[in-house]
Amino acid sequence: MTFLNPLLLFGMAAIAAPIIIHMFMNRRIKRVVWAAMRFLQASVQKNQKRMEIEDLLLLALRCLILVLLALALARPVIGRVADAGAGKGGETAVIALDNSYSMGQSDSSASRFDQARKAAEQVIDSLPSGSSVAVLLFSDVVRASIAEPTYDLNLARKVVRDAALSDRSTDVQAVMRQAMETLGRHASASQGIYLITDGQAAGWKKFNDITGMLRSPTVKSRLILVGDDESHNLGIKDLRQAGTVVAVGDNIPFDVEVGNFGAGEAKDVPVRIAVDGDPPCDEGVIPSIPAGGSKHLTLFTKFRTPGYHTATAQINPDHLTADDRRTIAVRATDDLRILLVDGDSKSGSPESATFFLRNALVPVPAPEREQYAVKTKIIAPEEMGTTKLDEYEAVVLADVPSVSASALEALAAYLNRGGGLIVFPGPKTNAGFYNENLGKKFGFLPATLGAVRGDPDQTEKFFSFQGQGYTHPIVSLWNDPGAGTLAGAHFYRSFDLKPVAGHTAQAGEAQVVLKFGDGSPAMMERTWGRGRVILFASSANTAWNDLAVRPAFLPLIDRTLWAILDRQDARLNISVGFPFEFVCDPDWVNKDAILTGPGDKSGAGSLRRIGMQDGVPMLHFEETEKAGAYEARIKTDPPQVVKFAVQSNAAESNLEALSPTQLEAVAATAQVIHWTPDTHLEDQFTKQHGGAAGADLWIILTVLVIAAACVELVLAGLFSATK
Amino acid sequence: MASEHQLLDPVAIHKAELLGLQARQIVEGYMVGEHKSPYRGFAIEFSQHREYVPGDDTRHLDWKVLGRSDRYYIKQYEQETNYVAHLLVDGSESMRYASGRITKFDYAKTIAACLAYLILLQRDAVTLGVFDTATRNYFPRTDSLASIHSLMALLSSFVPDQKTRIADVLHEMASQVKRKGIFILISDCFDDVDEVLQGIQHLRFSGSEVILFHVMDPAELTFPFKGSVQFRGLEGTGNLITRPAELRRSYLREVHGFIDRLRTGCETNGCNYVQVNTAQPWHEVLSGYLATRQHRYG
Repeated sequence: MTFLNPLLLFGMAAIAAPIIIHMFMNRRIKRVVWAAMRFLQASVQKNQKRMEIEDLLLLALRCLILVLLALALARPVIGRVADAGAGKGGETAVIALDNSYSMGQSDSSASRFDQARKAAEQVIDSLPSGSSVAVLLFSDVVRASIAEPTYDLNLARKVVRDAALSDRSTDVQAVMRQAMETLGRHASASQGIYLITDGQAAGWKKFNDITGMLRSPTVKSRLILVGDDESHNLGIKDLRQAGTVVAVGDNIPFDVEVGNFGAGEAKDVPVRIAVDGDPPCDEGVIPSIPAGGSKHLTLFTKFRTPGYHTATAQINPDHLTADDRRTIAVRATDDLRILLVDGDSKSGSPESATFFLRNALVPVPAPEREQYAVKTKIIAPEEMGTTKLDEYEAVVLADVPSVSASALEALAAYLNRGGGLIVFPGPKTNAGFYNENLGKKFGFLPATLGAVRGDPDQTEKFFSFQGQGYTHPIVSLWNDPGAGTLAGAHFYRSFDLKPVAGHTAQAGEAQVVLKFGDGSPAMMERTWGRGRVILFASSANTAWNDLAVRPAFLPLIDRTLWAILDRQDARLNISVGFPFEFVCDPDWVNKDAILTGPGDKSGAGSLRRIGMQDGVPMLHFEETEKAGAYEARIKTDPPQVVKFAVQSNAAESNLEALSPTQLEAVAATAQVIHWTPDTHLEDQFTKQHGGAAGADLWIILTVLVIAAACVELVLAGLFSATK
Repeated sequence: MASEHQLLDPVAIHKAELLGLQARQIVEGYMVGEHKSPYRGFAIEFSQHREYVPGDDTRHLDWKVLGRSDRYYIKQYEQETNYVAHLLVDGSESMRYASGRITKFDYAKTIAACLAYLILLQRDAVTLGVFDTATRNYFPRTDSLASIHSLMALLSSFVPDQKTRIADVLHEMASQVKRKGIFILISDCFDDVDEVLQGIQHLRFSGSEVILFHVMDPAELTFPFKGSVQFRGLEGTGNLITRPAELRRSYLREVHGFIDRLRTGCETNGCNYVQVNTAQPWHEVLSGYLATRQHRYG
């Protein structure tokens, strides 16, 4: 016997109530002085025994009523609870319907999701009368279309029919947990979970936890699998801008990664890229992608105008179209301003700290500098306090001894809003100041500046960057020998960088970008607020090294700048379901924005007001359930347009189903049904039940309670009658 | 407790006076009263005139009539005598019970006082005894109305706090009183019924008339209690917790059985049994009883 509400068994303690009432009544007894005692005593003597028996009988009856009532409320069930009441009374059911994007796989007739909806309707039809049902749509999140079980089965049917696919991946564990919690709140003799999914193995990562929940003795679980095995699927796993500053008019490379999730090799896979929804502007072919593997292809495109753009890579449609295209948002610029803070007084000469930096950032002859996208401005450290940092994409501190406190505060606000900071130490750098303020106080620096090693005057003693094994995106380019080498640069002197964990809320994890040959960090970075900080171990000029005159210097600085901008653009590319949070121009505060995207069926868009969030002007938009390109039109004069992209989880493209072994393990705890349009679920469920169903005893107990109460009423009346 | 003045209820006295108290039997006495005496040659109460015949005692000639009418008439006298009424009031602790304002003892005292006044008003004699296990306060025979106050003072001063032994008191009275009289016993008779009846029988054997005023509280006759009640018995009968509503019928059976045995025993012994409910007005009790006596004995 199992109890559906075992906690209510504590109600049996109410058995003490009649005894307490009896004691209480004794306290309230009336006292009477009496003369005719002899007659009373004679009367009591004749009736005392009978009265005691009657009292005991009534007490026992009252206690019995309370015990039966507590038992009835505790809902005892004989036999297997999940089967109890099957075919006899209502069932409390939860239908969990998989709406991850893999359910969009279609064999040209009906998609897996269409089949799942039909199966769900069949489940509802098969429920016995008096049943209630909750409907949960699940992917990697659970959306409760009907959160609490409803007896309105027509409503449940409508919800199932209106259910829509998402662009999310699958997580069965989350929906199982929620379904169990839902049923836990609604005790009934018969409870069932109907998990309707395509059985994609990727969604069962925590397989043991899921089967553990399926094993619940109180809930009968059924796994209804829809769709056939799919042996072919190609999908775009990743699309990213290939590590350069997106300047207007330049050929911008995009790296497209195409995955082959099928069982066989894919040959001659055409890949196209298009900008802002226009026809494809570049196309390439991947000759071969092995089964289970992926290949990269670089495609180029140009952005004609400054501002926000989207680039969409696509392959030929297959049975699962959701992963056949992927969109990325970028910001093209023709005015990329970099502030160079030069700690050396010999400004403009090759000995100055920023000479090589400026030339690396603007690698064109002087007459062409005005037309070049990147523009630099060199200032002395003391000018930092009066400079509006927000006008610059990045700030470079080159051999700056120290900065003022106000400049540090401005720097913190600038980084918090998404700015970039690059630090090149040098001979004049006050390491103590840096460690104390930029490190300890604000936590900007990913490492402390330790001891200085090497001697620039002893050029025969040098050390170099690592020669291979570049893992960080900034330097991953040099994994390709064709890109040259970083190890050619000689370093004669550098600070010993000692990584430190971020101790402020804004500080992200410190990461090593590049190491010296001996393994000590040469370049480190950390995110800070919405911005990024990159710290070099040595100088930006030739004072301590010859990096600045090496060929690798230019691309290294370019990619460093790209990393700064990428941090800023990262917020333009979010995963499905994540809110879009965009730091706006302060002038946009209180302006309205109309947002449109692929999920916007009406086309009218959604209205949002730009407001201040944590002191930062912010546009917040949370309706990002559909993957693709989005556009925010800010109502300024003239109107400003911000484009961003929502990307789905590429892991969902892997349509590999649960293995037979896994299905066997599931079948040990739940009924597994491979649904086809010809399947009659009701028959399947009946077959599973057999004839052995348990029984909920609460009705019987309630009848007993009523009967006992009636008997008590009659006996109490009889016994209290005068004798 | 009723004070001395309260013991005489004016309404009760007024009604009783009109009706008078007639002795059922002629008792012997030494005072002339309304009761016919079996003894001759001793008369003070004029009865009638008759014509003189020779041989009559000339002392009885009515000289005034002779003077006025010149006729000889003899004055004839009817000789009458008094009786002694022995009022016996139960002063045991059980008489202290009252469900309302008046205890059984208060009620008994009032009845005794009323009767004493009436009897003295008729120039008969009264004795008064208050008893429990024995006679405690005793007022000797008196025929003076002036002594009514002393009688009442005796009644008022008594405080009941002992058990009852009615039979012993009755036996004692029967052996002490030589003359026939009327014994008026006012009690709840919460004693052994057989012994009480033996005592009454003893009194009757001596030729006296016995009247029993059986005083009961209305609660003792109806047992109206509800809920759980702890009864604390008087006269050391202990305590008892019970639900009286459930025992009412059984209790009333016991009480009525007791009353029936008492009444039957009284009737068997030629004793007048009068049941008195303390809820009744005194005058109703007295006048009702006296009316009955007048009707029965003339």
